[in-house]
Amino acid sequence: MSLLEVKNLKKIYKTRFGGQQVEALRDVSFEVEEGEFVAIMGESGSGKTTLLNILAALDKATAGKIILQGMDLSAISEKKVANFRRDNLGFVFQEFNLLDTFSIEDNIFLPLVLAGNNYKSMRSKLTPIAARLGISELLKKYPYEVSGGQKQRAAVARALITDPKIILADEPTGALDSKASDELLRLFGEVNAMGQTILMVTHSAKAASCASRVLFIKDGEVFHQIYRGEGTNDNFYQKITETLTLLTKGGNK
Amino acid sequence: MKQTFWAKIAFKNILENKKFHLVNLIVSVFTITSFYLFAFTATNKGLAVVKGYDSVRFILLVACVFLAIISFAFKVYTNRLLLKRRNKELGLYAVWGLEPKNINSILSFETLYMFVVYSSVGIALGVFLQKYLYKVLFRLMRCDFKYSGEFSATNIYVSLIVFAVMDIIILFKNMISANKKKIIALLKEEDTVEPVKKLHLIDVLKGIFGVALIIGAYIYINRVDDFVNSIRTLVLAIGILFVGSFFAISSFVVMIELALKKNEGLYYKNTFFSTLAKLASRTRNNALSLSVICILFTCVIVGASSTIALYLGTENQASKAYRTDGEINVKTVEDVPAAVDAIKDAAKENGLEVEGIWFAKRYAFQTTFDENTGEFSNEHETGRNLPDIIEMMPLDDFNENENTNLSLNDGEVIFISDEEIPIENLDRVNVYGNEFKVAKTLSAPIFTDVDNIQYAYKFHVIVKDEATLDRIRESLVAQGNTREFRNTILYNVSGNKDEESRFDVCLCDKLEALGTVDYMDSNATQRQTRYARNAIFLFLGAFISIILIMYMIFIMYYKQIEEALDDIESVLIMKKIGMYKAEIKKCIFAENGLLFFLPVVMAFCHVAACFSVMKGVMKLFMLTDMDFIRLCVILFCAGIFVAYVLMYYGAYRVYSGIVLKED
Repeated sequence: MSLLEVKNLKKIYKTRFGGQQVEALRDVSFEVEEGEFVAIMGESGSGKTTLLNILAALDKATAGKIILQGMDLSAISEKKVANFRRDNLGFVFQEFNLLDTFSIEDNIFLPLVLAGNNYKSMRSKLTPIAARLGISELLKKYPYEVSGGQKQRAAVARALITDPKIILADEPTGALDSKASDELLRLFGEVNAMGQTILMVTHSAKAASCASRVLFIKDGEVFHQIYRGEGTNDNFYQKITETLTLLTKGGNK
Repeated sequence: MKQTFWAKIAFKNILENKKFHLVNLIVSVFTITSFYLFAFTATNKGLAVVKGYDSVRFILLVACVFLAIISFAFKVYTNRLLLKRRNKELGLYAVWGLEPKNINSILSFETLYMFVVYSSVGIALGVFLQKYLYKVLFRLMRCDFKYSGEFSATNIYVSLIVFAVMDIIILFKNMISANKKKIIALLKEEDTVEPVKKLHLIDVLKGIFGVALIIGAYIYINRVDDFVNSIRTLVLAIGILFVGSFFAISSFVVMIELALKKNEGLYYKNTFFSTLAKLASRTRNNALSLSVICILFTCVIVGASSTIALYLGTENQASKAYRTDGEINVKTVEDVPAAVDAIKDAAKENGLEVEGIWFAKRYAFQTTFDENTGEFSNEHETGRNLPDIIEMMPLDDFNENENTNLSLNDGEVIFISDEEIPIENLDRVNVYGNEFKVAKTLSAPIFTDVDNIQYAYKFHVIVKDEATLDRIRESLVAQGNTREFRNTILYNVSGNKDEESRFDVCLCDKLEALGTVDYMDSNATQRQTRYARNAIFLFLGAFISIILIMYMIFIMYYKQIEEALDDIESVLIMKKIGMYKAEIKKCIFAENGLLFFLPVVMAFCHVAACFSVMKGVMKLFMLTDMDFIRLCVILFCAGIFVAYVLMYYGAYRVYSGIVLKED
């Protein structure tokens, strides 16, 4: 059984008084296996972020189903959604989304505190993750005191600390320079190699080339998908750019 | 570019920032309305019928000046808050290429629009309310309503000029501030809030200094014993309390918060976590506003509860003015019978019985008394804050009025001292060279002591007879003291308060016709005078308290919106991480609650510490029932606390509505 199943997902936005409708997702279906690293690509306005928001239970689909490890997200009540999110999902955002008033350590602790963990168990979870991500020395610093790359590593640590079933990453390299981007993608690769499932939305072909599969979304539908297979990152990068070219030229599925 | 363009931009700016301007507008309308009404009440001829008109008018005029000063102070402060929010906007104007004169034009038009709106609405409201307010005021004063309903253009001009001058000064300040700053500073100024990571030694010292200042102010204010001349002391104490509260909040409270953060067991609990993490920085960033609210709250409680106590206690004060119903002082002993006849005639005309008439010959003047030697002269340094007064009278008059049967030998006196000055071991007194043996010492007060403002320390010397009193006066005349005897008639009549009031008016007319009366006063007169004065105090206390509360709400409301807008992103992150809406609300409730109630708790401490001063001031106005004053303060505190809780709930709803995007 797949870890994540997305079936015929549809999202229509209505203007405030219901006068106009915008179809952000028309009919999206795909599956993600446990331990997979999937990238979602598409042009601006193709529906990538809408899809990620619905997967993150931050938004509701107009129609369709999302099943995470057998659990139907649309059947979860509003009250339990936050619980579901904190127990099952990890998030990495383009703008890091670290709270300025918390130290790096407290930002990483946040989901555990919300889950009611005690300090000792939180600390024992943090130490190996911080060491693996190379941020042990930064834990007492505040977000404004560290670089963008370091902030994003802290965000990854926050996503990993709850041991989530899946990490949802929204343009995680979008606000980073090339060196920090490479470093983050290396980290994602390592984490994925250890069995962590990752679903990443990205514009960057380079970032997507680190994934094992890339889904291309166009006009609210999965237009195409390609697998890495046994090829290298470079080969996969080549395949991705070719598909993107096809996509922009208006090719068919 | 034409001025009309800048005028349009300014208009649009106000409309787009209406949630910031609206509260400011409401406060400004009420302030100018109050100012106009104070000025109108002070100058309306109808007030002349009130007993004690001159002092009431003076109080109202002083209140106008006071209101103008506090309004200006708050306008400067609230403008600072509003301008801070606009730094980025002003920076962007500069980036777009607007010259300083263009930015000045926009600011000028904004000021003009606001002034035109609030002053026209405020004055119109004042003109509309003036008659009704007058009616209420006269009812409070328990006087017959007399309204001189002329349209007072002068008061309107004065109100407009005072507030226009304030706005112009603030406008110039804003222009200088906007043009002085560099563009990049304006653009970045909003993003300068940093979390409080740790406290430095200087912060600790500031915190300790703040607490020391507050304690110092408490001690300083409780040492005041001259309440007549204590205005400067009170203002200084409020200033010290304000500075102390600021340092205490910005450093000492932050110290406590950071200490709590270090307690891992407490800090890493769901509710406290987010609350405590933000609290230290929020407290520090809001320290000035919180201190202002703390002092406003203190002033509102002290001012409003005092004036309420004073008004509600008027009857109590008036009944203690004189032991008898009234007192008349005539020029000579020969004038006494005519005055007595006037009392009897007035009683008869009003259908009342004369229950008693007493007479006393008194000789009183200012002096200095040395309690160690028992000497009265003009030479001593007493070290007391209030002057000394000596009052002498013959024993017969004393016995008759005090209903005693004391006796004295030649060269002996009975000595009665002010209760605060011990004289138990005094065996001799010397009155300007006239030596007497003290046959007996008694405690004040006696029948001539009006339970009124303690304007002096009083010493009574009861001499054997009138001849002795004459001899003392002769020796004093020889020394240059030409003070005359006071021939005092005291009376009691039957009847209730209304009947006594009618009798009082009738007696006044009769005594005036005699032309031999130096001074006349009565409990009925005191009642009317005090009702008039206390009603004015209540009127002013209520208005000024409402204005202070409005400023308090304005500051709170503004801060809530400002911080909520800054907090939207954080809350969104928390939601994404998996925080429930209910948990977020709980955090906001706790965090805002701590910030909201911190100044209130401090204000209650300030009020408790200043209670003895309140008692002292109340005593000046003859309100000596301390339990009653305490009850008024407690009830007012409870009432305003409930109002504050509601205000807090409203602010919490505004805040959570903005950050959670709820309607």
